[in-house]
Amino acid sequence: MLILLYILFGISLVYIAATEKFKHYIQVYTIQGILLFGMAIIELKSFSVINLLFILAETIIFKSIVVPKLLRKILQRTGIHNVHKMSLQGNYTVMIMLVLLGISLVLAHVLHVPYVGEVYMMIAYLTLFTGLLLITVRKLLFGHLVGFLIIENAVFLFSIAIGNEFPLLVNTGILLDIFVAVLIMSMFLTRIGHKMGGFEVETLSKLKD
Amino acid sequence: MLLAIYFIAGIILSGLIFIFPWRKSINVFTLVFIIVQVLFSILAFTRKDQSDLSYFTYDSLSLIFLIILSLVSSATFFHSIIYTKDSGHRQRAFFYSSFILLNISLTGVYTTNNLIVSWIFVELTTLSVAYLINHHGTANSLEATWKYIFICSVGIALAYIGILFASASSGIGSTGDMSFNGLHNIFAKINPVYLKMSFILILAGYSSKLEVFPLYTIGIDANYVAPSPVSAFLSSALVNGGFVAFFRVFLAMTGTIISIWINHVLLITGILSLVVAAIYMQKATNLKRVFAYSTVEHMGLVLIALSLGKIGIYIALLQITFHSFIKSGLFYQTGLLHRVLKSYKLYKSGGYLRLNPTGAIILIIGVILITAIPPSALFYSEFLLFRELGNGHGVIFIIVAFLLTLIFYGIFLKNSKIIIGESGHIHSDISVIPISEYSTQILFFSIAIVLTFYIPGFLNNLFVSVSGLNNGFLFSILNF
Repeated sequence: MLILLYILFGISLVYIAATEKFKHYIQVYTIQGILLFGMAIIELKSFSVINLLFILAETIIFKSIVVPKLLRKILQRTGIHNVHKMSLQGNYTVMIMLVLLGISLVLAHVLHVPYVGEVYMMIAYLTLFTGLLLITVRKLLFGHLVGFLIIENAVFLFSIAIGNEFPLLVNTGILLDIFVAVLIMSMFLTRIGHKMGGFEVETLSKLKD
Repeated sequence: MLLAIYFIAGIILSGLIFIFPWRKSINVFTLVFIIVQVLFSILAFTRKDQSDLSYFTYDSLSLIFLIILSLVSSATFFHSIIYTKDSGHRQRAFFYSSFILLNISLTGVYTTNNLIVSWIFVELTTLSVAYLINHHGTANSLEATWKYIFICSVGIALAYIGILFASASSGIGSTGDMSFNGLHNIFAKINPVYLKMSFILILAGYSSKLEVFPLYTIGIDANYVAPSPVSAFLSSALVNGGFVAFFRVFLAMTGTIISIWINHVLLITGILSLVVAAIYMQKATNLKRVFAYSTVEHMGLVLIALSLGKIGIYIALLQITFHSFIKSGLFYQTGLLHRVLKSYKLYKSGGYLRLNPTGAIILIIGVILITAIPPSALFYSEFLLFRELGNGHGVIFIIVAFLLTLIFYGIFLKNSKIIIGESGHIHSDISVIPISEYSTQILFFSIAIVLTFYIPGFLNNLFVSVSGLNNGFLFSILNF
């Protein structure tokens, strides 16, 4: 079961890197939230109702419901639908993803982490690389925002790997931080569009010496 | 309990600002908060080395930065009152509410003893500073704010992954202790390759807050577009927050098998920061960017100092303390300069000495102090740094000296243009600057001069305690 979740998560990463439609980004991100919930529940070392509720809030409610809703709202307000024409095309990103998959595989094998499966670590590395890839190759700021969210998914995977269960207050702090970050970024993204007349990365290159 | 009262008071005052968004009430609420901040710092001293709310400790490191925070936030509030007097209710309410939240977040960063809590508060500083950077709401400030939030958030996430990776690789499982002391024990057992990878991620991530190579650019842009009182706060209290967050992880990693490697990385990163500052300082066409690159220079020196062992930590603490006072004073003065010259642009402004002699003299004093010319306290810390570099780091000594000379030349050249250069097409209006507005700069510069000759015992004890030197250690420039 766990292997199936890993494979599905890996496929979702390749798809999000390759797709050129922003609504697909949101759909894939929603699915990733559900997959993360499954992984977290199976990997949970000690069961408690509080932990379960928290994982539910962090994955299903936050990643699969609240954030996608926020992202959809941004797309409605900004009227952007596809990645920029000048962005790296899907077939090239798939090729890069294959290379990143290879690197993740090697890293997971060479840097073996005790008590954590190699496949799991490979997925965690690949998630981090996918987030960084989106930030690097996408020319619209919305793509960067999704890249940041994918990196946050990598943070979630690494925190499950450590198996450390923090008190509710600390967990709430982490969740609140990420939520406010996404909220503020969304707010500024919309403002940038209105003020600068575009969402391209190039619009943010006025400040230099 | 003390911290709980502080946090609750801060959050309530921050909220009250929105309920009563009038100028006078906002000023009163913020003033009450500043008093709370100062009282909290004083009371924290009486509880030295005690824990609070499980995740916080009033250790020597936190006390040093709480003192600086109290002084800088008081001065920033004073200048902000003047700066925001023509702002709208909503704009002013957002400004002061964010300012209070930023203070609370920084206090959290300084005092926490737990890595995860530190991460939460560091991220909170990024979020709370967003409105302060974007106060003007212009295209430039939006660009700087977006870059600041985005790159800081990604950087901090990378740093967090670095820590989680190191902890996971130790195989600690669910018994893991994420306090900095606990991490020290964990790091001692980890395979060096994991630890190195973890350290690189942490340094790269926190470089956005520390304003050092590689992610220093966002700090430069933020300082450039933010209102001057905010720039003063960013380049002192906020940079200090980044330092504390990084330094605690650094301390947890010292004594491990990769200590020497860490020192090399810090040395290289510090020198690269100096290179960046030296090159871009010459290119800068805006006074605020000149001073922002000077922050990169000083934080680069702090990293170089950290690579030199216990005495290096002592020097780093001196450097960052002195820098906080001088740099914030300079930014306050830059704000007043803008009121006279109506611009920060070097090719548009000039003749500041003729138009406002008092302001120009204070600016000149600030420039002398920031370039570590005696009697600047920075001369004291940089003298110590060069003395240590002279003992077996001859090549580094020459490189650092060369880069500092370039930076020195850049700062003086740019400032001389604005102080004694051609006036250009400007409309001066110096009558609006009362003498009281220079008071904080004079106070901070005086502190930076007095500390050259005399470091109060309680302050020196804090420095010595953090750096792990023998009790009673005090290097005096007067005895050399």
